[in-house]
Amino acid sequence: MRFSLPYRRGRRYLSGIDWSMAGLHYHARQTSHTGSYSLVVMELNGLPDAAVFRDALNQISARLPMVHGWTKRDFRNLAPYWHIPKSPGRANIPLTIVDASDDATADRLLSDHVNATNRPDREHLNFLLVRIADGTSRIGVVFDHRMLDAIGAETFLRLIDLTVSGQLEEYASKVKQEEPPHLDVWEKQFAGGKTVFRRMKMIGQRDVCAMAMPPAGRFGRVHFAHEHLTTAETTHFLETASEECGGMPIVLPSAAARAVYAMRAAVPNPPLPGTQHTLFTTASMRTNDQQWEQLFFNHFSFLLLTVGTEVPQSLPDLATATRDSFFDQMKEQIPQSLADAAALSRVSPRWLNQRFNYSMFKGRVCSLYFACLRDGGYKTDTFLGVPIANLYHKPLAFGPPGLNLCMTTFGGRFNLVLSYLEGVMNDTTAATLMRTFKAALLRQDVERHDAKNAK
Amino acid sequence: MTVDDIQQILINEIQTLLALKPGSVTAETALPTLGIDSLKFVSLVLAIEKQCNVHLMKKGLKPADMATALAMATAIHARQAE
Repeated sequence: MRFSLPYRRGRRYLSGIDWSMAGLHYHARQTSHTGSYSLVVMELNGLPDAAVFRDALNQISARLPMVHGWTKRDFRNLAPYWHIPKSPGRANIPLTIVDASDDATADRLLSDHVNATNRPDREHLNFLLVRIADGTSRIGVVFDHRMLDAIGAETFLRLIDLTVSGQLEEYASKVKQEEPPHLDVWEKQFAGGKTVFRRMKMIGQRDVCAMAMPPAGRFGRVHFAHEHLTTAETTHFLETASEECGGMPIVLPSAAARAVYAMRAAVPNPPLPGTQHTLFTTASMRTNDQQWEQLFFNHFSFLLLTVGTEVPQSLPDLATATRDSFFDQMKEQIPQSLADAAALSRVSPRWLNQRFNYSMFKGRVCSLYFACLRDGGYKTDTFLGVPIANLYHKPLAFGPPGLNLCMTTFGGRFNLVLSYLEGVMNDTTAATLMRTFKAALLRQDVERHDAKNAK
Repeated sequence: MTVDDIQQILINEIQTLLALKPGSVTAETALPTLGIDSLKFVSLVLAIEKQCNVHLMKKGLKPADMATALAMATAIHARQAE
């Protein structure tokens, strides 16, 4: 089945995953008036020059008008694409500067920034610079997942830094601004669809154990809880994870097992028999050495890890169950199959796509969204000449299930951020979940040492 | 299957997986410096399992086995013999 539909060269056609993110955006607009936005926070040990910062954003805005684009549909082949305006006109990337008396106020301002509702649909980036009274500062970048993924957002921050040092043209010229629609690999896409359908059917045989959603049809704001590991703690966890995966440098299943462990501990109500915890997690599809080519759009796919609620609440048992689920899905090449299958869904409108996605598993899509990124897009330790203390992500949590646990790395240490929808859990439960999650990331090590000592 | 055969399979798979030019990975290239993440590593292991008929996920590897393509090929060869 090798026939190709006509398309226009030079256009940036959206991938199936990009279109899924557009569907998620539509859903978030309908339910919470927000969108598929996320926040990347950079904590600085000083204050960057706001005028230089703004000038760099203006230069990027003019050089890469893609940042002011929007989705359109090519009616010759029904594939969606990213319309890039020829000139940004007077449009700029917004940068707001505010003052805060302390860290807590800065956190609140950043939380308000990402929770803003009714953001213009064509605004894909929005910067907030918070100047804190003690001389430090925080930069919060709200980015649109229709245009950037987490690594892309960090890379965009790096582009600002490089722009200030006069290297915009060198790096912007590498950015890929066109992509064919791949409307010629039908066999691969249908085979992917078959694989995904078979797996979804298997997972769908058991109900998903998830938190109850707020009764109202519309959701409130998203709250955040943030913890981090030290460099030594991160190294300990990476070693433990490797041991749990037969010595191989694999982290995702061990981290996901601890997320399930923490969720079970924080929500003590016993789950219904025969149900399962499911974690909707991202799988990077990025190519090494293509950081700049792959700056824009989404370069990941998904895995749906499952752990039966009958698995005992012990880290070794949960780690084994999660690892087996991970290996099974990797053997079936679920991430690639899902990306291929999603490409077929581009023909349907966003609302229909989203209705289909949310009808899976009787509307209970998963127990929580989970991400564990060991690699980042910002690999230097200064921004506009100011030392960076930390860099982490605060994604919005979409309902259902209204929970998102995100692990990202900066400077050799993990940041842990829990995002939760108002009404899904309260601040106390969220704090317990985070405390347990952090302890679980380190506990296995303690248990191992205890076991050795006991011998 | 000799260590050299396995080593060549490994090198080819790593180059394909990371979209590297042929010849950019050698027997002595330090694998941890190549930036192979969890998912790519599993894909590599699965490809090796299929081509070398060995169950690495069950038998496991040691961190030292993953230092270079040569070290990994030697370890896989030993697992085949088990």
